[in-house]
Amino acid sequence: MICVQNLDFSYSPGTFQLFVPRLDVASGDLLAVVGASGSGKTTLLNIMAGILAPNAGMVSIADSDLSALTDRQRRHMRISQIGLIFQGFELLEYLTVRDNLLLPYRISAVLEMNDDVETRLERLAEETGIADLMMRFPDELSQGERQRAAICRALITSPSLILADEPTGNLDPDNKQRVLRVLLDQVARHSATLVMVTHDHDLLGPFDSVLDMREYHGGPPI
Amino acid sequence: MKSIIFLALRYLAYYRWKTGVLVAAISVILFLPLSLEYVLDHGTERLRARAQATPLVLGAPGSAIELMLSTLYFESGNLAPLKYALIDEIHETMLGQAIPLQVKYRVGDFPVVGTSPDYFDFRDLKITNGRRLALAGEAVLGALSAKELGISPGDSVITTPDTVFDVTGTYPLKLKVVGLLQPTGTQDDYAVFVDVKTSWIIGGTGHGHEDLARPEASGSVLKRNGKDLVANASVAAFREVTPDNMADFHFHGGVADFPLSAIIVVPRDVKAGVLLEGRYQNPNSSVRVVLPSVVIDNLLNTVLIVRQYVLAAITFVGVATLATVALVFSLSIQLRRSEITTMMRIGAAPMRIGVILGTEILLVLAASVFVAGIAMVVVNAWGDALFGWILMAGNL
Amino acid sequence: MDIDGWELVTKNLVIFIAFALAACEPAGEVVTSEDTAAGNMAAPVVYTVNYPLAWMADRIAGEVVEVVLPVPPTEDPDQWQPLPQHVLAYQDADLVILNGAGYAKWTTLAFLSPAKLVDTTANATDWLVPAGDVRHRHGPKGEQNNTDTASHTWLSPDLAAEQARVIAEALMQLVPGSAKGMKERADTLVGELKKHARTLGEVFENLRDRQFIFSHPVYQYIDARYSLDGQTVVWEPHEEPNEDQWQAMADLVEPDRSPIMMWEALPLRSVSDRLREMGISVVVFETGANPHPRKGYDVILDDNLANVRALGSMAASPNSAKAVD
Repeated sequence: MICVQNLDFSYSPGTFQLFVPRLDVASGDLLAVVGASGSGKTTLLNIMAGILAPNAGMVSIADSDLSALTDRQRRHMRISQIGLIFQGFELLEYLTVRDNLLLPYRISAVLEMNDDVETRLERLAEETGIADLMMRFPDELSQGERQRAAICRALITSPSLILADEPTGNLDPDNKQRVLRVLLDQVARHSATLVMVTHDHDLLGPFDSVLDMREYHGGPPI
Repeated sequence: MKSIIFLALRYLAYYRWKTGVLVAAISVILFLPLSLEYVLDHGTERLRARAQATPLVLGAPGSAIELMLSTLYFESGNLAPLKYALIDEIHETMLGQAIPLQVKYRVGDFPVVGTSPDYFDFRDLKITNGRRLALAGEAVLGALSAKELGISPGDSVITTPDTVFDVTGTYPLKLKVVGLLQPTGTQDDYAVFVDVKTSWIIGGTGHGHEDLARPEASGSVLKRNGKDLVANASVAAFREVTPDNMADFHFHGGVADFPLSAIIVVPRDVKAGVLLEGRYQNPNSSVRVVLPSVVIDNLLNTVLIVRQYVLAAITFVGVATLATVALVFSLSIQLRRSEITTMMRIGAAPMRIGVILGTEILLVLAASVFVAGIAMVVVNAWGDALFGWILMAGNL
Repeated sequence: MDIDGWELVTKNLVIFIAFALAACEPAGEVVTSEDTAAGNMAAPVVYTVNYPLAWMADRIAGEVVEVVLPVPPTEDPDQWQPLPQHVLAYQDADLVILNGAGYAKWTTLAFLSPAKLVDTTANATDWLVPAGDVRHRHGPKGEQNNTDTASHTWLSPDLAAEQARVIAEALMQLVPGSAKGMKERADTLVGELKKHARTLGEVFENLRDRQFIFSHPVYQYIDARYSLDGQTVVWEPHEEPNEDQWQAMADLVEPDRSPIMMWEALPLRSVSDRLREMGISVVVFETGANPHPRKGYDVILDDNLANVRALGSMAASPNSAKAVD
């Protein structure tokens, strides 16, 4: 699913530098990315998502070399094949949970909303336990409910790759476990690949492999 | 496009107070100059129409504007009176029709307009309830004066005395209302029309009282010399004209000398109008002739200059308001930075996000235009009443 | 590359708004239109205040105008108080012929268009005579009330001719297309009236030394025109005078001047008889103010002339009285 070779990235010369000589993540694998703050975890995720372009090296997602794609192609690939989950949930306050879940279809010119999407929406909501919360606004939800909604939004397009950046970072211990269980459950149901950045080593158990960023960055922290 | 409009509407609906304030502010900025233009255009059109429909006006030398206000808008001022003899003088020339106007008295806030039947034909005033004037002591009310006073045919109104304490001033006369006029959208709607002779009675030039020749009236006789009597101040004048006392009403002095505020002259044709104008243009004459359309045009030119200043002020305020609105939008976008970043990270194109934000702005503008439009529709629908109120409130 | 593409967003936003606003168009103008109404060509209607004026108008222009006298035949036109509907009918007329000289006082309080009014004695002020009524003023410096003018002007045929001339002028202005015919008819009428004036003058000349007593204050113009130097009482033809009135008459009469009492209509037989016993001749001189059921005003003029002429043929006979149909 993911193949990284000789990835070389820096925001500007003399600043933080990230170098990954080789990284392979098989389809359906669960990869945890750990490291200190500023070690480049989020940067690596952004490069995998096609949001950032490396200075050198190859990043291939589902056999597509991201460096060979245009910005537009990367966006299309991102919105249709990659689901993103953020530490701060990043739900839009003025949209209901339902509309937040359908956001990718509203902001994309390539995705088409149809009955399948509606079916998928209802199923995701049921499976993640937020079916009763669909008409509420984010400020009416608890932290855990918000993150579950964010997980549903990331999965609504049936992506093959989930990139989660500290999805449990803002949750209390009980919710951390619950949300992680939901996330892993959905990843399994969708047969997706999961790359999750986390500070919390207690959550590493279910993961197939762990990538420690200490090995891959240099220069002053960002 | 549906999704873009959907997202824009959702945002505006969620932050409804902010949206409402923006729409209100922009609506006001759009409405103000439009309504000002409408009121001024409507008003100037009405002023011009009434002036253009009045060919010539004769009055005593003095302010032409004051003469116009008296003649067209029944504003009683301090004009010196004309003599009624001018009416016959004009008719004898056979150059046009002379319509007398005596505007000096009031029933509450409404002017009493003494005139002749020709005024009603001239202004195409039609009766909607009751009948036309027939005799002195009767009154016919304009649509709005009747409504404001709550008067119907058969009721009476009483003229307002000059002052309560001036014993030498005019005394109130009770007028019998015999008819109400159809609305015209002009100052005629606010008038109380009477025979010019009735206005002379109100002013004391004519009156009715008991027959002084009768023995019972001896207490009112100051001096008797054969058939010539001098009455004293105890003679009580009748305060209304009735079928029983009408025969006792009379005038003192010659009608030719009785006063008028103004005379509307309707020339027979263009040439007659020029001849009439020339006849009374002598600066030494005790009578002056005025073309209402010229006077009103001069007056409106001044109004239009003021309009330019007002529009400039509104424009300045409008620009400031729109700049503030633009700042609000700009700050709003700044505050939504993380939301925009999220959408881009999920995979939205910058162009699409720009279109979403732009659509929000356009929807606010569209709503503002709609609200301003509704307000203009209301002003248009109620414009006549609004302008009539302005005329009434401003006595213009 | 910039992480959040602010420049891209801002640039696209500005372009979008500019494009959208450029698509707005100004509203069109509204144009209003006017319409006009056609006139009405009915025959002109002329109202008068008494029968002599109506008769004159009819003589002059009866073929082209409709002459109306709405006063009920039982009412004295001078004293008549019209109802509002009567006044409105006068208002709607094309021309209103007034006698002037204070006749029909109701017209001074009626709402009538000055453009339609013709005062037939307005320019004959030198000919007007006082009524002899009580006049009053308010305070030593006040103006006199303006009602002290004798009003039965047409009884002087010369003044009637003048009134006819004024009526003719007004009618010729009203129907200019028929002015020529009206002028001819007016001249004929004026000629007749002036001839009548002369003939009446000759007749009254024969009665120069007689005492004239007028039963009602309506004969001022006959009195003035023919220098009759008469005296006036107020006796009604259909009423029996009371004893005070008879006594006043007795005090008034000068038997040596063969007094003549002039009446608007034949008095009661008893009154006529008693007057005759007092040596007073009775003559009927109709004013013609109201239309007569059986004769026109020209016949009234002839009858009046005949009645007065008959007095002359009976100059020395106190027992003569002329009966009038």
